Amino acid sequence: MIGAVLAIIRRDLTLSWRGLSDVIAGLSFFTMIIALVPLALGPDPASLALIAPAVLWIAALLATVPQMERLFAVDAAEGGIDHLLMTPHPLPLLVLGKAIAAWISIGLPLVLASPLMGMMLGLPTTAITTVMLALALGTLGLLLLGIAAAALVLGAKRGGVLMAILILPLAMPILIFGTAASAAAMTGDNAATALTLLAAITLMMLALAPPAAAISLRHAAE
Amino acid sequence: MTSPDHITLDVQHLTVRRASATIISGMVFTLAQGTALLVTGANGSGKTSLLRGLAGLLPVDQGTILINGRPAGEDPLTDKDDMIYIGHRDGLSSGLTAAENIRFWATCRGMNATPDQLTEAFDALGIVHLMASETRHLSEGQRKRVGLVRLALDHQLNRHRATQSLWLMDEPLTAIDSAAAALLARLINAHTAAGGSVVMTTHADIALDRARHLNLDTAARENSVHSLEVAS
Repeated sequence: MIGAVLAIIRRDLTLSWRGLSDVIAGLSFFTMIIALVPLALGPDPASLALIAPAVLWIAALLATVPQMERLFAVDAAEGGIDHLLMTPHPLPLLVLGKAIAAWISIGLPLVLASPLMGMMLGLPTTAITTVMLALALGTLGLLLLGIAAAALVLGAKRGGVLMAILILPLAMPILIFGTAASAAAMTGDNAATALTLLAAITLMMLALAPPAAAISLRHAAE
Repeated sequence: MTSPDHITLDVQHLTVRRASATIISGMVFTLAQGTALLVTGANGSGKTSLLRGLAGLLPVDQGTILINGRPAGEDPLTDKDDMIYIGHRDGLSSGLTAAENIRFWATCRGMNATPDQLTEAFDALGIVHLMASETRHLSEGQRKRVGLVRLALDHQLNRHRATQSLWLMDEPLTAIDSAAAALLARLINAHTAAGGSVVMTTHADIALDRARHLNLDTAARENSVHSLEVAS
Protein backbone atom coordinates (compact mmCIF):
# COMPACT_ATOMS: atom_id res chain seq x y z
CA MET A 1 0.00 0.00 0.00
CA ILE A 2 2.76 2.43 1.00
CA GLY A 3 4.66 1.17 -2.04
CA ALA A 4 1.84 2.31 -4.30
CA VAL A 5 1.66 5.75 -2.65
CA LEU A 6 5.42 6.18 -2.97
CA ALA A 7 5.23 5.04 -6.60
CA ILE A 8 2.62 7.74 -7.30
CA ILE A 9 4.72 10.43 -5.61
CA ARG A 10 7.78 9.33 -7.55
CA ARG A 11 5.92 9.22 -10.86
CA ASP A 12 4.35 12.66 -10.44
CA LEU A 13 7.66 14.18 -9.37
CA THR A 14 9.40 12.61 -12.37
CA LEU A 15 6.74 14.13 -14.62
CA SER A 16 7.13 17.55 -12.93
CA TRP A 17 10.90 17.34 -13.29
CA ARG A 18 10.61 16.58 -17.01
CA GLY A 19 8.01 19.29 -17.47
CA LEU A 20 10.08 21.72 -15.44
CA SER A 21 8.77 24.71 -17.42
CA ASP A 22 5.45 24.46 -15.55
CA VAL A 23 7.21 24.58 -12.20
CA ILE A 24 9.34 27.50 -13.34
CA ALA A 25 6.29 29.29 -14.73
CA GLY A 26 4.55 29.10 -11.35
CA LEU A 27 7.64 30.31 -9.54
CA SER A 28 8.23 33.14 -12.02
CA PHE A 29 4.64 34.27 -11.63
CA PHE A 30 5.11 34.37 -7.85
CA THR A 31 8.34 36.38 -8.02
CA MET A 32 6.98 38.65 -10.75
CA ILE A 33 3.92 39.72 -8.75
CA ILE A 34 6.12 40.48 -5.74
CA ALA A 35 8.69 42.32 -7.83
CA LEU A 36 5.98 44.55 -9.27
CA VAL A 37 4.79 45.78 -5.88
CA PRO A 38 7.81 48.01 -5.01
CA LEU A 39 7.63 49.43 -8.53
CA ALA A 40 3.99 50.36 -8.14
CA LEU A 41 4.11 51.45 -4.52
CA GLY A 42 7.49 53.17 -4.42
CA PRO A 43 10.56 52.00 -2.52
CA ASP A 44 9.56 53.29 0.92
CA PRO A 45 10.62 50.44 3.26
CA ALA A 46 8.03 51.23 5.92
CA SER A 47 5.01 51.04 3.64
CA LEU A 48 6.43 48.00 1.81
CA ALA A 49 6.98 46.09 5.06
CA LEU A 50 3.44 46.95 6.11
CA ILE A 51 1.90 45.15 3.15
CA ALA A 52 4.61 42.48 2.74
CA PRO A 53 2.67 39.58 4.36
CA ALA A 54 -0.44 40.33 2.31
CA VAL A 55 1.53 40.55 -0.93
CA LEU A 56 3.39 37.29 -0.27
CA TRP A 57 0.19 35.41 0.42
CA ILE A 58 -1.83 36.82 -2.45
CA ALA A 59 1.07 36.05 -4.79
CA ALA A 60 1.24 32.50 -3.43
CA LEU A 61 -2.48 32.06 -4.00
CA LEU A 62 -2.34 33.47 -7.54
CA ALA A 63 0.68 31.36 -8.42
CA THR A 64 -0.74 28.04 -7.21
CA VAL A 65 -4.40 28.12 -8.22
CA PRO A 66 -3.83 28.17 -12.03
CA GLN A 67 -1.58 25.11 -11.71
CA MET A 68 -4.12 23.00 -9.90
CA GLU A 69 -6.46 22.21 -12.77
CA ARG A 70 -3.98 19.92 -14.46
CA LEU A 71 -3.50 17.83 -11.29
CA PHE A 72 -6.02 15.36 -12.72
CA ALA A 73 -6.82 16.74 -16.17
CA VAL A 74 -3.76 15.20 -17.87
CA ASP A 75 -4.35 11.79 -16.30
CA ALA A 76 -8.01 11.95 -17.26
CA ALA A 77 -7.16 12.65 -20.91
CA GLU A 78 -4.69 9.76 -21.03
CA GLY A 79 -6.92 7.25 -19.25
CA GLY A 80 -4.75 7.22 -16.14
CA ILE A 81 -7.72 7.84 -13.83
CA ASP A 82 -9.16 4.42 -14.73
CA HIS A 83 -5.91 2.81 -13.66
CA LEU A 84 -5.92 4.80 -10.43
CA LEU A 85 -9.47 3.57 -9.79
CA MET A 86 -8.48 -0.03 -10.57
CA THR A 87 -5.47 0.04 -8.24
CA PRO A 88 -6.20 -2.35 -5.36
CA HIS A 89 -5.50 0.20 -2.61
CA PRO A 90 -7.75 2.78 -0.91
CA LEU A 91 -8.28 5.61 -3.40
CA PRO A 92 -8.04 8.48 -0.83
CA LEU A 93 -4.56 7.28 0.04
CA LEU A 94 -3.50 7.31 -3.62
CA VAL A 95 -4.97 10.82 -3.96
CA LEU A 96 -2.96 11.88 -0.91
CA GLY A 97 0.15 10.69 -2.73
CA LYS A 98 -0.74 12.94 -5.66
CA ALA A 99 -1.33 15.88 -3.28
CA ILE A 100 2.07 15.39 -1.64
CA ALA A 101 3.80 15.28 -5.03
CA ALA A 102 1.87 18.40 -6.09
CA TRP A 103 2.96 20.24 -2.95
CA ILE A 104 6.61 19.34 -3.55
CA SER A 105 6.51 20.60 -7.14
CA ILE A 106 4.16 23.60 -6.72
CA GLY A 107 4.22 24.69 -3.07
CA LEU A 108 7.75 23.97 -1.97
CA PRO A 109 9.45 26.18 -4.64
CA LEU A 110 7.42 29.14 -3.37
CA VAL A 111 8.39 28.40 0.24
CA LEU A 112 12.05 28.24 -0.75
CA ALA A 113 11.82 31.47 -2.74
CA SER A 114 10.02 33.35 0.04
CA PRO A 115 13.10 34.51 2.04
CA LEU A 116 14.44 36.33 -1.00
CA MET A 117 11.02 37.72 -1.86
CA GLY A 118 10.55 38.80 1.76
CA MET A 119 13.83 40.69 1.66
CA MET A 120 12.68 42.51 -1.47
CA LEU A 121 9.63 43.67 0.46
CA GLY A 122 11.67 44.72 3.46
CA LEU A 123 10.54 41.87 5.68
CA PRO A 124 12.67 41.74 8.86
CA THR A 125 15.05 38.76 8.82
CA THR A 126 13.70 37.63 12.20
CA ALA A 127 10.29 37.00 10.61
CA ILE A 128 11.54 34.85 7.75
CA THR A 129 11.40 31.46 9.52
CA THR A 130 7.80 32.04 10.58
CA VAL A 131 6.82 33.23 7.10
CA MET A 132 8.36 30.12 5.54
CA LEU A 133 6.65 27.82 8.02
CA ALA A 134 3.31 29.55 7.47
CA LEU A 135 3.72 29.36 3.69
CA ALA A 136 4.65 25.66 3.90
CA LEU A 137 1.54 24.85 5.94
CA GLY A 138 -0.67 27.16 3.90
CA THR A 139 0.39 25.92 0.48
CA LEU A 140 -0.10 22.30 1.63
CA GLY A 141 -3.64 23.20 2.68
CA LEU A 142 -4.19 25.02 -0.61
CA LEU A 143 -3.00 22.07 -2.68
CA LEU A 144 -5.19 19.63 -0.75
CA LEU A 145 -8.10 21.95 -1.44
CA GLY A 146 -6.95 22.16 -5.05
CA ILE A 147 -6.79 18.41 -5.51
CA ALA A 148 -10.39 18.02 -4.30
CA ALA A 149 -11.48 20.84 -6.62
CA ALA A 150 -9.50 19.42 -9.56
CA ALA A 151 -11.27 16.09 -9.16
CA LEU A 152 -14.62 17.85 -8.90
CA VAL A 153 -14.25 19.85 -12.12
CA LEU A 154 -13.07 16.85 -14.20
CA GLY A 155 -15.04 16.82 -17.41
CA ALA A 156 -16.32 20.37 -16.94
CA LYS A 157 -15.80 22.94 -19.67
CA ARG A 158 -13.67 25.90 -18.59
CA GLY A 159 -12.57 23.96 -15.52
CA GLY A 160 -9.89 26.55 -14.78
CA VAL A 161 -12.36 29.37 -14.09
CA LEU A 162 -14.54 27.00 -12.10
CA MET A 163 -11.50 25.95 -10.06
CA ALA A 164 -10.73 29.55 -9.08
CA ILE A 165 -14.35 30.16 -8.09
CA LEU A 166 -14.33 26.98 -5.99
CA ILE A 167 -10.96 27.38 -4.34
CA LEU A 168 -10.64 31.10 -3.59
CA PRO A 169 -13.57 31.39 -1.12
CA LEU A 170 -12.52 28.22 0.66
CA ALA A 171 -8.92 29.44 0.76
CA MET A 172 -9.89 32.52 2.81
CA PRO A 173 -9.15 30.98 6.23
CA ILE A 174 -5.70 29.94 4.98
CA LEU A 175 -5.09 33.48 3.70
CA ILE A 176 -6.31 35.07 6.94
CA PHE A 177 -4.26 32.97 9.34
CA GLY A 178 -1.28 32.81 7.01
CA THR A 179 -1.05 36.61 6.81
CA ALA A 180 -1.81 36.89 10.53
CA ALA A 181 1.11 34.61 11.39
CA SER A 182 3.44 36.51 9.06
CA ALA A 183 2.31 39.91 10.38
CA ALA A 184 2.73 38.79 13.98
CA ALA A 185 6.24 37.58 13.26
CA MET A 186 7.08 40.95 11.68
CA THR A 187 5.95 43.03 14.59
CA GLY A 188 7.61 40.63 17.02
CA ASP A 189 4.31 39.38 18.42
CA ASN A 190 3.65 35.76 19.16
CA ALA A 191 2.80 34.01 15.90
CA ALA A 192 2.02 30.68 17.54
CA THR A 193 -1.75 31.19 17.72
CA ALA A 194 -2.12 31.97 14.04
CA LEU A 195 0.28 29.17 13.09
CA THR A 196 -1.64 26.66 15.19
CA LEU A 197 -4.92 27.67 13.55
CA LEU A 198 -3.28 27.44 10.14
CA ALA A 199 -2.01 23.96 11.01
CA ALA A 200 -5.50 23.01 12.18
CA ILE A 201 -7.03 24.09 8.85
CA THR A 202 -4.38 22.18 6.91
CA LEU A 203 -5.00 19.07 9.03
CA MET A 204 -8.70 19.39 8.35
CA MET A 205 -7.98 19.57 4.61
CA LEU A 206 -5.69 16.55 5.01
CA ALA A 207 -8.59 14.57 6.46
CA LEU A 208 -11.36 15.82 4.16
CA ALA A 209 -9.82 16.53 0.76
CA PRO A 210 -8.56 13.03 -0.24
CA PRO A 211 -11.89 11.25 0.42
CA ALA A 212 -13.77 14.08 -1.30
CA ALA A 213 -11.48 13.85 -4.32
CA ALA A 214 -11.90 10.06 -4.37
CA ILE A 215 -15.70 10.39 -4.54
CA SER A 216 -15.43 12.92 -7.38
CA LEU A 217 -12.98 10.71 -9.30
CA ARG A 218 -15.29 7.68 -9.06
CA HIS A 219 -18.16 9.83 -10.22
CA ALA A 220 -16.18 11.28 -13.11
CA ALA A 221 -15.31 7.78 -14.35
CA GLU A 222 -18.95 6.74 -14.73
CA MET B 1 -22.08 -27.98 -15.25
CA THR B 2 -19.00 -26.75 -13.51
CA SER B 3 -18.90 -26.25 -9.77
CA PRO B 4 -19.34 -22.67 -8.49
CA ASP B 5 -15.71 -22.27 -7.53
CA HIS B 6 -14.71 -22.75 -11.13
CA ILE B 7 -16.86 -19.86 -12.24
CA THR B 8 -14.93 -16.62 -12.61
CA LEU B 9 -17.90 -14.47 -13.48
CA ASP B 10 -21.54 -15.09 -12.69
CA VAL B 11 -23.72 -12.30 -14.03
CA GLN B 12 -27.42 -12.39 -13.13
CA HIS B 13 -30.05 -10.03 -14.53
CA LEU B 14 -27.54 -7.26 -14.97
CA THR B 15 -28.96 -3.84 -15.79
CA VAL B 16 -26.69 -0.89 -16.46
CA ARG B 17 -27.99 2.61 -17.07
CA ARG B 18 -26.00 5.53 -18.27
CA ALA B 19 -27.46 9.03 -18.08
CA SER B 20 -30.98 7.59 -17.66
CA ALA B 21 -30.72 5.46 -20.83
CA THR B 22 -30.79 1.71 -20.21
CA ILE B 23 -27.75 0.29 -21.97
CA ILE B 24 -27.87 -3.28 -20.75
CA SER B 25 -30.94 -4.87 -19.27
CA GLY B 26 -31.45 -8.29 -17.71
CA MET B 27 -28.21 -9.79 -18.97
CA VAL B 28 -27.42 -13.28 -17.72
CA PHE B 29 -24.20 -15.15 -18.34
CA THR B 30 -21.53 -17.12 -16.58
CA LEU B 31 -17.90 -17.43 -17.47
CA ALA B 32 -15.90 -20.46 -16.41
CA GLN B 33 -12.33 -20.25 -15.29
CA GLY B 34 -9.94 -20.56 -18.20
CA THR B 35 -12.30 -19.13 -20.81
CA ALA B 36 -12.20 -16.06 -22.97
CA LEU B 37 -15.42 -14.23 -23.69
CA LEU B 38 -15.54 -12.23 -26.90
CA VAL B 39 -18.17 -9.52 -26.69
CA THR B 40 -19.31 -8.21 -30.05
CA GLY B 41 -22.02 -5.80 -31.06
CA ALA B 42 -22.71 -2.63 -33.00
CA ASN B 43 -21.36 0.73 -31.85
CA GLY B 44 -23.38 1.86 -28.87
CA SER B 45 -24.67 -1.62 -28.07
CA GLY B 46 -23.17 -1.40 -24.58
CA LYS B 47 -19.87 -3.25 -24.88
CA THR B 48 -17.89 -0.63 -22.99
CA SER B 49 -20.65 -0.19 -20.41
CA LEU B 50 -20.68 -3.94 -19.81
CA LEU B 51 -16.92 -4.00 -19.27
CA ARG B 52 -16.96 -0.96 -17.02
CA GLY B 53 -19.86 -2.45 -15.09
CA LEU B 54 -17.88 -5.65 -14.56
CA ALA B 55 -14.82 -3.63 -13.54
CA GLY B 56 -16.86 -1.73 -10.97
CA LEU B 57 -16.21 1.57 -12.71
CA LEU B 58 -19.87 1.98 -13.61
CA PRO B 59 -22.57 1.39 -10.98
CA VAL B 60 -24.85 -1.54 -11.61
CA ASP B 61 -28.53 -0.66 -11.46
CA GLN B 62 -29.97 -4.11 -10.97
CA GLY B 63 -28.74 -7.65 -10.85
CA THR B 64 -25.70 -9.24 -9.32
CA ILE B 65 -22.18 -9.94 -10.43
CA LEU B 66 -20.21 -12.66 -8.70
CA ILE B 67 -16.46 -12.55 -9.17
CA ASN B 68 -14.84 -15.84 -8.18
CA GLY B 69 -18.00 -16.55 -6.17
CA ARG B 70 -17.86 -13.25 -4.28
CA PRO B 71 -20.47 -10.53 -4.84
CA ALA B 72 -18.79 -7.66 -6.67
CA GLY B 73 -18.53 -4.48 -4.65
CA GLU B 74 -18.57 -6.26 -1.30
CA ASP B 75 -14.81 -6.01 -1.07
CA PRO B 76 -13.79 -3.58 -3.83
CA LEU B 77 -10.06 -3.83 -3.17
CA THR B 78 -10.04 -7.62 -3.63
CA ASP B 79 -12.19 -7.19 -6.76
CA LYS B 80 -9.58 -4.82 -8.16
CA ASP B 81 -6.81 -7.18 -7.16
CA ASP B 82 -8.56 -9.96 -9.08
CA MET B 83 -8.90 -8.11 -12.36
CA ILE B 84 -6.98 -6.03 -14.81
CA TYR B 85 -8.84 -3.48 -16.87
CA ILE B 86 -7.35 -2.32 -20.15
CA GLY B 87 -9.57 0.48 -21.37
CA HIS B 88 -10.02 2.34 -24.61
CA ARG B 89 -7.38 4.85 -23.66
CA ASP B 90 -4.10 3.22 -22.77
CA GLY B 91 -3.56 5.00 -19.45
CA LEU B 92 0.09 5.64 -20.27
CA SER B 93 1.65 8.89 -19.22
CA SER B 94 3.19 10.73 -22.20
CA GLY B 95 6.04 12.07 -20.11
CA LEU B 96 7.31 8.66 -19.01
CA THR B 97 9.06 5.99 -21.02
CA ALA B 98 7.20 2.81 -21.88
CA ALA B 99 9.14 0.82 -19.28
CA GLU B 100 8.58 3.46 -16.58
CA ASN B 101 4.85 3.42 -17.26
CA ILE B 102 4.62 -0.35 -16.93
CA ARG B 103 6.85 -0.44 -13.86
CA PHE B 104 4.69 2.25 -12.21
CA TRP B 105 1.56 0.26 -12.92
CA ALA B 106 3.12 -2.93 -11.58
CA THR B 107 4.32 -1.24 -8.37
CA CYS B 108 0.83 0.13 -7.76
CA ARG B 109 -0.47 -3.43 -7.94
CA GLY B 110 2.22 -4.69 -5.61
CA MET B 111 4.01 -6.60 -8.38
CA ASN B 112 7.74 -6.22 -8.14
CA ALA B 113 9.20 -6.96 -11.54
CA THR B 114 12.92 -7.32 -12.03
CA PRO B 115 14.41 -5.60 -15.10
CA ASP B 116 14.69 -9.03 -16.77
CA GLN B 117 11.05 -9.84 -16.11
CA LEU B 118 10.07 -6.45 -17.48
CA THR B 119 12.09 -7.05 -20.64
CA GLU B 120 10.50 -10.48 -21.02
CA ALA B 121 7.03 -8.96 -20.74
CA PHE B 122 7.84 -6.38 -23.43
CA ASP B 123 9.23 -9.22 -25.53
CA ALA B 124 5.87 -11.02 -25.33
CA LEU B 125 4.39 -8.12 -27.31
CA GLY B 126 7.47 -7.83 -29.53
CA ILE B 127 8.41 -4.32 -28.45
CA VAL B 128 11.60 -4.60 -26.39
CA HIS B 129 13.05 -1.85 -28.61
CA LEU B 130 10.41 0.61 -27.38
CA MET B 131 11.09 0.19 -23.67
CA ALA B 132 13.24 3.30 -23.32
CA SER B 133 11.14 5.46 -25.67
CA GLU B 134 9.12 8.27 -24.21
CA THR B 135 5.49 7.38 -24.69
CA ARG B 136 4.73 10.73 -26.35
CA HIS B 137 6.87 9.70 -29.35
CA LEU B 138 5.02 6.41 -29.93
CA SER B 139 2.34 5.81 -32.51
CA GLU B 140 -1.15 4.85 -31.41
CA GLY B 141 -0.61 1.20 -32.22
CA GLN B 142 2.68 1.17 -30.35
CA ARG B 143 1.06 2.76 -27.30
CA LYS B 144 -1.68 0.17 -27.43
CA ARG B 145 0.94 -2.57 -27.46
CA VAL B 146 2.74 -1.00 -24.51
CA GLY B 147 -0.58 -0.95 -22.64
CA LEU B 148 -0.98 -4.68 -23.27
CA VAL B 149 2.44 -5.40 -21.77
CA ARG B 150 0.64 -5.15 -18.41
CA LEU B 151 -1.13 -8.40 -19.24
CA ALA B 152 2.09 -10.11 -20.23
CA LEU B 153 3.67 -9.03 -16.96
CA ASP B 154 0.67 -10.26 -14.96
CA HIS B 155 0.79 -13.61 -16.73
CA GLN B 156 4.51 -13.91 -16.19
CA LEU B 157 4.52 -13.04 -12.49
CA ASN B 158 1.20 -14.49 -11.38
CA ARG B 159 0.65 -17.57 -13.54
CA HIS B 160 1.30 -19.90 -10.61
CA ARG B 161 -1.10 -18.17 -8.29
CA ALA B 162 -4.17 -20.12 -7.17
CA THR B 163 -6.57 -17.45 -8.43
CA GLN B 164 -5.71 -16.14 -11.85
CA SER B 165 -6.76 -12.65 -12.71
CA LEU B 166 -9.66 -11.71 -14.91
CA TRP B 167 -8.58 -9.61 -17.87
CA LEU B 168 -11.08 -7.02 -19.04
CA MET B 169 -10.13 -5.48 -22.37
CA ASP B 170 -11.97 -2.82 -24.31
CA GLU B 171 -11.25 -3.28 -28.02
CA PRO B 172 -7.59 -4.21 -27.63
CA LEU B 173 -7.34 -4.99 -31.34
CA THR B 174 -7.99 -1.45 -32.55
CA ALA B 175 -4.91 0.23 -34.00
CA ILE B 176 -2.62 -2.78 -33.60
CA ASP B 177 -1.25 -4.70 -36.58
CA SER B 178 -1.85 -8.37 -37.35
CA ALA B 179 1.50 -9.42 -35.88
CA ALA B 180 0.62 -7.76 -32.58
CA ALA B 181 -2.86 -9.30 -32.69
CA ALA B 182 -1.27 -12.74 -33.08
CA LEU B 183 0.99 -12.07 -30.09
CA LEU B 184 -2.02 -10.93 -28.05
CA ALA B 185 -3.92 -14.10 -29.03
CA ARG B 186 -0.96 -16.18 -27.90
CA LEU B 187 -0.86 -14.31 -24.60
CA ILE B 188 -4.60 -14.77 -24.03
CA ASN B 189 -4.32 -18.48 -24.84
CA ALA B 190 -1.47 -18.86 -22.35
CA HIS B 191 -3.53 -17.03 -19.72
CA THR B 192 -6.64 -19.15 -20.20
CA ALA B 193 -4.52 -22.30 -20.28
CA ALA B 194 -3.17 -21.32 -16.86
CA GLY B 195 -6.75 -20.95 -15.59
CA GLY B 196 -7.22 -17.22 -16.12
CA SER B 197 -10.28 -15.68 -17.70
CA VAL B 198 -10.75 -12.92 -20.23
CA VAL B 199 -13.60 -10.67 -21.28
CA MET B 200 -12.83 -8.59 -24.33
CA THR B 201 -14.87 -6.47 -26.68
CA THR B 202 -13.89 -6.53 -30.30
CA HIS B 203 -14.96 -5.76 -33.85
CA ALA B 204 -12.17 -7.77 -35.42
CA ASP B 205 -11.69 -11.52 -35.57
CA ILE B 206 -9.26 -13.16 -33.22
CA ALA B 207 -8.57 -16.88 -33.05
CA LEU B 208 -8.58 -18.03 -29.45
CA ASP B 209 -8.42 -21.54 -28.01
CA ARG B 210 -11.09 -21.44 -25.34
CA ALA B 211 -13.40 -18.72 -26.55
CA ARG B 212 -17.10 -18.08 -26.07
CA HIS B 213 -19.06 -15.42 -27.89
CA LEU B 214 -21.56 -12.89 -26.67
CA ASN B 215 -23.28 -10.73 -29.25
CA LEU B 216 -24.99 -7.79 -27.64
CA ASP B 217 -27.15 -7.12 -30.73
CA THR B 218 -28.72 -10.59 -30.61
CA ALA B 219 -28.86 -10.41 -26.82
CA ALA B 220 -30.99 -7.29 -27.15
CA ARG B 221 -33.28 -8.91 -29.71
CA GLU B 222 -33.86 -11.97 -27.54
CA ASN B 223 -35.73 -9.82 -25.05
CA SER B 224 -32.50 -8.64 -23.47
CA VAL B 225 -31.76 -11.96 -21.83
CA HIS B 226 -28.73 -13.81 -22.86
CA SER B 227 -27.50 -17.00 -21.33
CA LEU B 228 -24.14 -18.32 -22.14
CA GLU B 229 -23.22 -21.93 -22.03
CA VAL B 230 -19.93 -22.54 -20.36
CA ALA B 231 -17.57 -25.44 -20.26
CA SER B 232 -14.57 -25.87 -18.06
